[in-house]
Amino acid sequence: MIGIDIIDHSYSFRNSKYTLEHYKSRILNKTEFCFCENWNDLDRAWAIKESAYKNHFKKTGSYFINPKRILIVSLDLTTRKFVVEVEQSYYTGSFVDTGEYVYAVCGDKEPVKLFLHKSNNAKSIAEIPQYLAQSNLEYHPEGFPEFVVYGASKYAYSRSHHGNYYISAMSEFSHN
Amino acid sequence: MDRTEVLGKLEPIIKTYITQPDVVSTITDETHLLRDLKINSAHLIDIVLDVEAGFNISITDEEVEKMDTVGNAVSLIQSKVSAPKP
Repeated sequence: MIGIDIIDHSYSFRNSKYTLEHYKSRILNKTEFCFCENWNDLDRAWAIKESAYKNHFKKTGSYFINPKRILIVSLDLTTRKFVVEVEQSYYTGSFVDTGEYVYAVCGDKEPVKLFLHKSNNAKSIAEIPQYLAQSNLEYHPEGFPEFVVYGASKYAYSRSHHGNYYISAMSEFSHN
Repeated sequence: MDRTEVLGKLEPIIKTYITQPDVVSTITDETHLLRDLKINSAHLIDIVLDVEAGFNISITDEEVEKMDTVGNAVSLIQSKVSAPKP
């Protein structure tokens, strides 16, 4: 199973009327404050938590909306690896922050395919491999491409859209 | 504040974060903020902050879990605004 989340820095929490401290107090546990000194750090923490939650939800079906129930246990800025605890289950993953966007991938194994698109970018849409034919490529009202994946493959597939960016990841794929 | 008043003040807050206008007309007590209104999970944090500021109340982390549907959010807010201030 796999979970992925992307945050477009230019569309993130920083555009709100609230302060960084407001969001930190709502999103982060006290032990996670050391991972968050600025808005980019907050975006990264959110992406990490969301990626872990998506993975956890697929495994357990456990639904909740309080982000503090997802705990970032460790975060290594050199290797870009993290460990997260969700309801006594532990997940590992990695993140990439380009300065324009940050995404985090959390899964049982490394994704074999990772696709990043800029919304409304026809060229990128066309580059989506044909072997994804089992999934239907549809279009969200806002215009970004959206996969609808059937059967068990959904467990090996995750996607995220935020701001100008759309990303999807697959850890495995079956034509069956 | 009765439920109608709370809902009247809550709806504009929620609508700020809805990206699909066609779902606005379908809001009922059972409407789920994330599933039905397709509100981005990050914006749920904004809604909580807006509710705290708009209603002059504090919502604990545990209480955030109750804000899954419009009806549950109204009930939570109503109980908070009715409670005596410490």
